[in-house]
Amino acid sequence: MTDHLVTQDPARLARTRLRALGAGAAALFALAACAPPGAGSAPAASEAAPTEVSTDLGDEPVELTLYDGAGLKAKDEALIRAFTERHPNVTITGRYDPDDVQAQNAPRVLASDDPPDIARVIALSDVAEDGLLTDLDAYADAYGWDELPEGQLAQYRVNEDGVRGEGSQYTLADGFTVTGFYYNKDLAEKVGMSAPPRTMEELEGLLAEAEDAGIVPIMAGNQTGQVMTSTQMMLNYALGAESLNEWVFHAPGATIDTPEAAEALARIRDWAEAGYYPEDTNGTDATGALGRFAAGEALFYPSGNWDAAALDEQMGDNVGFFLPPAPDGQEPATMSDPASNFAIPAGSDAKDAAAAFLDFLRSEEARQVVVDAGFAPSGEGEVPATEQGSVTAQIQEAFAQLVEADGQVQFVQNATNGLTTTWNSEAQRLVDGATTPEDMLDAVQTKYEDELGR
Amino acid sequence: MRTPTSTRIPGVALLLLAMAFSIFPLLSMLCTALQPQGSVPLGLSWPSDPQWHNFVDAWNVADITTLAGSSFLLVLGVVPLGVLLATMAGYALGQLRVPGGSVLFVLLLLGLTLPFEVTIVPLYYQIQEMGLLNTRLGLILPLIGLNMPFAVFWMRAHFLNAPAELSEAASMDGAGAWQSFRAVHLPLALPSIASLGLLMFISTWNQFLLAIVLMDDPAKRTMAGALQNFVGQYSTDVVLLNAGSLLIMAPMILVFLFFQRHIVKAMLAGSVKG
Amino acid sequence: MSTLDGSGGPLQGLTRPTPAPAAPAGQEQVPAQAPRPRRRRKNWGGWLFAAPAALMYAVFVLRPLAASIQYSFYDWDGITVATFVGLENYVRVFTDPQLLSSIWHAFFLIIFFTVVPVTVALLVAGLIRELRSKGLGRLAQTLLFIPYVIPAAAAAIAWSWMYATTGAVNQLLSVVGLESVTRAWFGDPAWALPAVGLIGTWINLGFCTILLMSGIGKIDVSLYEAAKLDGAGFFQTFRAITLPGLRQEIGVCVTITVIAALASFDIVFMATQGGPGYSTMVPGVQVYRLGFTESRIGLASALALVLSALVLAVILPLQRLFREK
Repeated sequence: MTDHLVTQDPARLARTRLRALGAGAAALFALAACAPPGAGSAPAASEAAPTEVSTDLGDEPVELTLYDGAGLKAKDEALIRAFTERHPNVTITGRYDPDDVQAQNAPRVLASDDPPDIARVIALSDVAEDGLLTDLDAYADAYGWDELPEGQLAQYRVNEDGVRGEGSQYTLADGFTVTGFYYNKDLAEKVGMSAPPRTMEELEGLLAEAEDAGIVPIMAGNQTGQVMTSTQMMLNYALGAESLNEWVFHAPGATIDTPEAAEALARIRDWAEAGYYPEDTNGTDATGALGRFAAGEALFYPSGNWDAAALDEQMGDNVGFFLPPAPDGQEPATMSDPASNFAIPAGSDAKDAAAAFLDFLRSEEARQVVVDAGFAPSGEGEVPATEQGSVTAQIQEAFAQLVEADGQVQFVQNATNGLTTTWNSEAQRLVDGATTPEDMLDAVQTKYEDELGR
Repeated sequence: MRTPTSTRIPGVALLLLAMAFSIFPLLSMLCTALQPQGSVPLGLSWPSDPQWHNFVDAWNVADITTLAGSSFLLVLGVVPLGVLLATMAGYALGQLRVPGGSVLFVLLLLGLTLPFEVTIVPLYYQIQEMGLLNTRLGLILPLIGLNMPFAVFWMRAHFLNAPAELSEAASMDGAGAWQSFRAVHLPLALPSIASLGLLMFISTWNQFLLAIVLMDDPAKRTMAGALQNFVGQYSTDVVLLNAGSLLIMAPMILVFLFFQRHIVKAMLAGSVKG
Repeated sequence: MSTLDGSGGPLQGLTRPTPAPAAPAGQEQVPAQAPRPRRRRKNWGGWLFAAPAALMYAVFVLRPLAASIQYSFYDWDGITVATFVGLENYVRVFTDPQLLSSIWHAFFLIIFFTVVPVTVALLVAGLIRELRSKGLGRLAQTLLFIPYVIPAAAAAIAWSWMYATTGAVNQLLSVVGLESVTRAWFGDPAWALPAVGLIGTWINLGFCTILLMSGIGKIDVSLYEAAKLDGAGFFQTFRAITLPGLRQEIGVCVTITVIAALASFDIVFMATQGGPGYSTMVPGVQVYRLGFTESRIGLASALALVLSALVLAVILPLQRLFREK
């Protein structure tokens, strides 16, 4: 290759270069005359808002495909099994990508010529606004989805300007994630913690105790941005669940760059400076952190229900769970968003059957499947059965409390496609002392507005 | 003449150091891969009781059979056709000296220095338009295209040095260009073609970015592309992760060990001619 | 092929099938006298041989490249109709501190991808020549070359484990009493980029060594004999004979490794994803992020094109520098 570069006769090469340049210029000229990219690709509006809907599946064979993240496969397959037992004429084929790949590919998969019939959508605003999803209002009327708790319904709605939380319904979730503090009971005893802390002061007292005792107070794998978990827990109380949700849902004029938020971040920075996170947190990923917490290295591990099964297996009775303690006079709030927020792509050709699957997610049977998979159930009703005293049971109790307090907060990383990176990188810098709370919030808000084109 | 010890000792020392540096990470992986599963071993400590079955488990967990099969299918799709096209083009540029061939040559030059990232985003949309996203064909075709610059260069270099009298003689016999290519030039080019095939094999097998972009299903990716999924799923267990990664590297290392003899031969041939 | 991925790159220096290092200039030239008509007729027909390869290349490289140029003047999310924004994307590439710093990181990586491996490879190759030990040379060749043939993504995994808190690097440092400097290398913003760079060194060292070794093998032995008789030492011989004799091979090494550094993707993507903070972000990963995660196709294309222009701007002068006199 390159030795031919080296041994070219210069004069001849120069002539040829000129010729190639000429050809290139001509090609550029031709390009300028092209239509803009993306012309002629929007699905027809009629596909996006059906009026003729049916709740009857009949007995003709129907084939559906479901698209989700690989981490949710076990849950989805169990749901599919339960649903197809009820409706033997329906077959549902699952297609799974690694969770992050699924999240970033979803818009393109929805826009493709052959979209799935049921798909998890995280970044709801843009795809709903672009007409890539089925407006489910007609199905909501037919099935009576308005009975769902308002706090849950808000997570399914998008208005015409792409603002979430209001407008038509586009999705229905099969269940919810729950976040909180896992704690190591043996180590808790060592630092004199007899019950989960109820106030922020109690919590900080315990952190200091642990640090003095040579125990890592908070385990976090910040290489994959896990310090963000405790960071957002502080933000939730500083700004309130409602205003954070509005920010994530793109409400007009929403900002996170406020003095209250900076105070919350300053607390995290102080924790980092006090050595409350592992020294190598920025070089540890989430799975590594999980392993180290399970091995008994740390007192607390702020994370979500997705780690419950592994911790249950590895720590048995030695692990407990509690919601982040609320400051005086506040109701508990923590991050809790749809496990799989299922939408029906506008291009689906079996919408009635797909909607029947969505409706099935509210059933007792489906709720039990979801709880068995470690998530909190969708809809309302009896809390499904869990093993008494297990960490899973504690998580379910915490979720019931959370719904009661209307304290479900969306993950701030999901506000826009690019924000996960920004939040996580900035959290790494906050822990390093490379940025200040004010600069961090400014960077996040700037990116947010940039991506929303504000 | 003997080399004085003054250069001998630092020479050997430096050489050993460079060799250790090259092999050290792989040793570290091997040691870790042989520890009991679920343990959190240190980076370099030979296990007291090597758990060779970890490789069997990792093979099953990472589904290496499927991955290797998939990589192999891709290689089968890319290498023979890629080598054939490049050989023909090299013949046209190097032996037939087609008019205007130098323009193609410079365009190929551009392809050699072009960072791959510049075509990847549009390529995704192009493959989507063709309806080939997530299909093997949709990965094979771009791989052939991307291999062309280097491959054509390689074959052109060979044909530049093949004696032109051969073509002359063949055309005296009334053989057409295709026939003289097939009967006379192709057999002579076999060593170059074999080397090119090997190089193309390596680059296809190791292709990462294209595989993760154009292929959502990890089981249909290249071996290298499958790593991303594997790490995402098994990074809790350092032991399995290392065992699996070693398995994913192994085919390439084995191929290289064979390939090396080939290199040495080619070098000897080169030096005789040089 | 070096542009395809970080490994399995062009080895024509090793297996250069038949041509001697520099084909006589006459062979590169179209014969000066007017070609005979019979020949010309055959020539046009010769395009039938070149057409399939040219077509594949045009469709899967040149067309996307042209599309990239087109996209770079638009604001496009990959789904809806794009809006024309002129040079705005380019202005952003040159003003956005994050994008600029990623470009700077790529240039920093040249130290580790090119300067260090080429220097060490020169020394090693020179010493192996002095030793004239066939066995050792062969063994060195095998071991040094393995990093170059394994997938770069796999190399990143191997090294991620090396650099971990309990990994081999920290273990070694502790053994030699440097416990104070042990750290999670990928977690330290000051050290993460050099740590990533060292992976590049590891990959490229063997490749360069072997290329240079084969180059040394082609240098006329009588030159070395004469130097010996003159009583020249190792370094004098090295400067007077080895370096000039290897001009071309060094050129190949530098070119390939510089492209690998500027266009690095696999290693960073698998090892650090650009973190901690933004300390290891490189344009390759940034293009992927902008193009596929954030769906800002225009900006991704502009950045990729700027990167390509930079690669050319670095490579072309290097070609002149190493061209044989």
